[in-house]
Amino acid sequence: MPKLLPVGGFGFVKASNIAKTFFDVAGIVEPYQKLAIEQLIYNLCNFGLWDKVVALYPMIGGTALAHSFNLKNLVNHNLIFFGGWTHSATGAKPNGINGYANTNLPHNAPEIEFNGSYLNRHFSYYSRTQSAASGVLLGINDGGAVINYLYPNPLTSALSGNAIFAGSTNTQGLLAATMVQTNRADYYTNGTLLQMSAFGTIGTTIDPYFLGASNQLSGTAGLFSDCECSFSSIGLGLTFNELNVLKGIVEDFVIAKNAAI
Amino acid sequence: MIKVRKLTVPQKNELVGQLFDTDSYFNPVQDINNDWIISNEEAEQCVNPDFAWVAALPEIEYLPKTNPPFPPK
Repeated sequence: MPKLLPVGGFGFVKASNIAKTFFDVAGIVEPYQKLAIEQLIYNLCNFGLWDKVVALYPMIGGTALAHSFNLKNLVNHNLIFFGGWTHSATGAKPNGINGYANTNLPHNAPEIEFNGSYLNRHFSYYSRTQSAASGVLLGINDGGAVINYLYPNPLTSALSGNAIFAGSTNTQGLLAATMVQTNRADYYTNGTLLQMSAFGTIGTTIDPYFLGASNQLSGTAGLFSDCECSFSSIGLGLTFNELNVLKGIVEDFVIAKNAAI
Repeated sequence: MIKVRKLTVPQKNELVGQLFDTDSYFNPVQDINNDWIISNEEAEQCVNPDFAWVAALPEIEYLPKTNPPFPPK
């Protein structure tokens, strides 16, 4: 299970250095929020997940500016918000009508290529909303390459052509998908395997992933979600055990960042 | 009942690619009647003086387009 941040040691220093820059650019001043970020970085480093993440959106600080930053790399793949969002201390909530964020992280980005393959991929989204509507939390569709986390949708229609997506009726907690060098995507809801989707090939579109919607057909957003995002990550594929560790780390983080609420 | 703000086509064209605050862009979309709309969040959070007029846009009930079959072919 994730550990509390110890004072001192290499991991502590690394977490502190990364976090300090983030605090400056994102305007984070509350001590409990700073501790939550330091603990998040430390735990991800300590459990070997930091290097597998390419984009990490902690959604902390309560403003669009603070929520836009990619904690893993404060220069690349920061979010650009479009349409209706509500930003608060608990996260960023798209309106399910026209709100989405562009991650600026293309599906075929070199950072998430593994041994020449795009079949090694994970994404996660911590949702605080139980939604009755239908939408995509994070995804892309273009030219036959489809990677979406859709809810709620009958599992029987989970696979079509090159499409990979999940149907979940529980839209709260850490919802995640992972591919680990196989033609199969595994979808998890709070650490429980929801669905395994086999597929043939996957495209190499240059279009970026959208958060809170699906990137449909060359940059047009669709299938808008109304689930509040409290954390999201995109990176290399994670094993079942790694996803469970990530779940624990993120749950601790969400509790810590909401400590004063 | 969800309310949104109705746009004319020229108004929609004016908003595309424009910021409504320092970090967020307008995103006009069409409803089931093919009317262009923006959300109440965009109208209420707009601090860009060039587009202060969005606060006075008429409110209508939001009737979404039916989602296409998923995934799209």
